[in-house]
Amino acid sequence: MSRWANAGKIAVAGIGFSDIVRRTDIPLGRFAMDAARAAVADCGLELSAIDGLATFPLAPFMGAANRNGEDVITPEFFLAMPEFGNVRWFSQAGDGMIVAAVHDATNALLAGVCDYAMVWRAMYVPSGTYGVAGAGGSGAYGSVGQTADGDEQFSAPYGCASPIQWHALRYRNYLEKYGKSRESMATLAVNSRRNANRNEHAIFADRALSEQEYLDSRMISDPLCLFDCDVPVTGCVAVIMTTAQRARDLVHPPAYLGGVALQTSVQQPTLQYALQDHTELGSRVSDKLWRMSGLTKDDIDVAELYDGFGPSTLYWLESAGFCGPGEALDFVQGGRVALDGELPLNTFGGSLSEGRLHGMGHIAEAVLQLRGGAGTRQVRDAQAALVMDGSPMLRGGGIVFTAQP
Amino acid sequence: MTIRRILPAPSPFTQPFWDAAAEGTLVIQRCADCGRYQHPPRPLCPGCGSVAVAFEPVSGEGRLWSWTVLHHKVVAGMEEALPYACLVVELVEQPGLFFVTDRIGTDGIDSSQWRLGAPVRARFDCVVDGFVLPQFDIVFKEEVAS
Repeated sequence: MSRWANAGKIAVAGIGFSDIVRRTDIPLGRFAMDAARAAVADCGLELSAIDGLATFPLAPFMGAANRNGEDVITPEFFLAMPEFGNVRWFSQAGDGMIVAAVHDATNALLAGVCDYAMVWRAMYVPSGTYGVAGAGGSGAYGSVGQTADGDEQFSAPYGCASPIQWHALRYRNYLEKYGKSRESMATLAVNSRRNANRNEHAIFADRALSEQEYLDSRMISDPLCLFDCDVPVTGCVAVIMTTAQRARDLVHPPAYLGGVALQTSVQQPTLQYALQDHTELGSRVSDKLWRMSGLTKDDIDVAELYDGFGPSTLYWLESAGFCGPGEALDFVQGGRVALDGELPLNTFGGSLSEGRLHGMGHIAEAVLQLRGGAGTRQVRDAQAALVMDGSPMLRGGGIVFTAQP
Repeated sequence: MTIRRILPAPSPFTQPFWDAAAEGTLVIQRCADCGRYQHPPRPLCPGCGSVAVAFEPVSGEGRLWSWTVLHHKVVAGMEEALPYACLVVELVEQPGLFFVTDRIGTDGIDSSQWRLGAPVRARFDCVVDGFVLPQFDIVFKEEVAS
């Protein structure tokens, strides 16, 4: 495969954040509309200009959201609003994280099916213990006496019923196999928190984190501790995508799509897949991105690598080729991934410290960095950014953004 | 300690696994054409696409691949078992052929002697509401010697 014929032809022209809070009684729809208004204002457009809608509305965990407008935001929510009367096309991705929605919008814009597509991700913190759903259904074990079918009948009866355990099992094998120590992860967690302290949207904008606090934090599913887990939030981020030609007439410099790719090797988010080799699976995504964009890892100025659980960032660093297998915990030491380092990483704080926006925070930050709008956390002369969403072993994908088409 | 586990909900496709477990036998799906094992089972062989897949007995021997001690509620009904351990074993029949087992202690979990690659062996004495959950024990050196 040669370079993507459409590299540089589609761009993100605007970004909008709602307030990002923890648990709230305010319906999620108000956050979603705030993000939508902010995103079109960022472009200098009106909501009536939006003629395409795309999202990946998955609940924060199984069974946790099912009331459209209250705790989940599907295209139907916006279609019902009078400002969105000009929408001609919409898409609701069922897998592939928010990258799938960006991919869908890219295809629709290239096909001329719409001119200005809004892509959003809205997240909500339900009541009760996070990760333990109150509702029934496969993968949701919030009430006593439930059953598990499909792949989960071979793991949930053993009390292994949550993604954090899948990730912990994979991480333990990684640490033991490569002779690494979980204590080294403190550097990455603290680096992200330091960046979040320069990000007004971050839930931890005003709270510092020391390496000692990381080391002292409680275990959730060892070797994963509290600060290896992203912080659940309620909020919405929306972006406006359009053609490069239209984007150049708007307020901010566009961030062009050099490539966008989905993880197509595995789809089922279950324990068995989480145990697979991260470099083999993750490199399938990054290889596609390098081929599409014509760039290499050496061209990347900013890396926004998913950190729903901290180790996923390590896996992406290795599978994208920034370092060899088993080397990522060493790679992130000594300031290499700081804002003024060799590879500024999760420059906004990541999901660990900005909040669990499921990859949309990573996309928004890549765009801000390339247009020079990242304020006190701006990386000097950022020309290309890599976004990886999800875990390399599970659902997700990646995007290469460039400052020039 | 009152523990309510999640129970399996077998389909006609997976029922033979649970029937065999109830008889004290660990069976894993295998392809008659290419010989590849697959767990959990799939309608077609993920190696060669063959439909000639069926459960067949395996040795019940394996190696410890990973473990995690859980301190946080994820399953309603297992709160009193916390902290408990979930372990992944790799069956000797094929690299990457993983199976889950657990360890629930009466006084927490001591994982200090657990090592990657430690030999494990299946047992069939974990019975829950008529289901036998195949479990694996770590075989320590002194037990091997005796």
